[in-house]
Amino acid sequence: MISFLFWNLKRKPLLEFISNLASRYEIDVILLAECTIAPSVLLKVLNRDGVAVYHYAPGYVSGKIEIFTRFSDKFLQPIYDEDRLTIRHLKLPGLTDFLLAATHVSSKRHWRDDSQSGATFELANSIRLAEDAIGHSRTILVGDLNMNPFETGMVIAQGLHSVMSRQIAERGTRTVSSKRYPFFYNPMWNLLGDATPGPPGTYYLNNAEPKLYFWNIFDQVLIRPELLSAFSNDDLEILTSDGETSFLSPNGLPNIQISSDHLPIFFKLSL
Amino acid sequence: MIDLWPKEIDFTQVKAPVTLLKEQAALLGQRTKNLLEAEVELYDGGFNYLITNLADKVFGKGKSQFFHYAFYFIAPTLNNYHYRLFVMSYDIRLYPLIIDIDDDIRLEIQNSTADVLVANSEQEFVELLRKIFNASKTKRIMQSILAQIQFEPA
Repeated sequence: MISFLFWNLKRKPLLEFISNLASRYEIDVILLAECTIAPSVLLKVLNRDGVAVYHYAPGYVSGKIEIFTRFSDKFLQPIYDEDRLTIRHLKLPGLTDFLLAATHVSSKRHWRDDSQSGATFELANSIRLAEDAIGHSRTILVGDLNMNPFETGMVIAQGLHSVMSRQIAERGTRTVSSKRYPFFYNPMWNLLGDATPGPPGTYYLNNAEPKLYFWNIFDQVLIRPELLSAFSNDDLEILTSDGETSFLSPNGLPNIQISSDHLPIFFKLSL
Repeated sequence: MIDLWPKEIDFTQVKAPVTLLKEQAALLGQRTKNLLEAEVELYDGGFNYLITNLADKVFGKGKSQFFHYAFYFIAPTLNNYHYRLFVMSYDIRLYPLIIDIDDDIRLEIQNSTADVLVANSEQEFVELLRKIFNASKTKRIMQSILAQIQFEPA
């Protein structure tokens, strides 16, 4: 079992929260967006209780996502980077290898919806190129997509082509205008709203616009069909506390006084 | 049979932007003993909406087929690691062309709110390439990859 944590820190030095989460949930791979904490500083905090367990996995070029692993970074080989995407080949001894893609798409503050959709076209293409190069499609994509699961870029065939149904994703691909597009399964659909345990989303926004969702799920993990047998929806959670401190204020909204305006997501793969 | 083709057909005068780019890509390998190479490949990323939205402004209405190319840094000794620096797009007229690049590099080169870089002629394109290749972040990217190559055991 490999466990993952993704968190957009909103440029806040949430060292203790990260360390507590890493310990409480026994996180193997920590992925951080908008991380301004120096890697050496975070490593000291992650490794302060005796044995140095965590490693910094920097990749070759500094990018938007920082990664720390509970195994040597040699097992997380960078194979592709662009400005807002890093793709690593995770190959642990004795376990099925896969591609770990991590991204931080431009926010709606800077890019309109159609521009964000365009970004997913490029994301999808880059992921497919990496899959062609590595020879399989066992890929997960995790990050702050700055889009909800139902937005165009997330669902359109030429974009991330992610679907809410495992059964549909397991078909593998869909042909549109004579071209085949691979699916992603998007388990985040199941976490929308307040009918399931946990908060209604990962990001709360309340402004004066007429069209407003209030809660959004911008922070997502998508899984290729080839890797679905390793993923259970029971192993996916939006986290609201590090075990000691809640990330939510008494009204149930992200507490931006002490934490990020994004909530972290946690998931596991059984390989 | 009558030959109806114009006498002035000339296949050699005009250099396509992709040709210019491939020439520069080839030069990088020579500079770095092929430790760090560059490659230009047809880009099949679909028509980026960002570029589509700008198409009317840059290319005018009645646009024809577009050509898209991606420019990559490649480190063959690092398991063929790729870093995509930018995507270039133009139509059958060759110019104007659009370059969709990292925000940091774009802002360093062009202090404006435009989302892409535009070149209206071969001369402008050459100058734009010079600025891109010499941008601080581009140099940092190349140095980072080269540092890693030199760090890897033989």
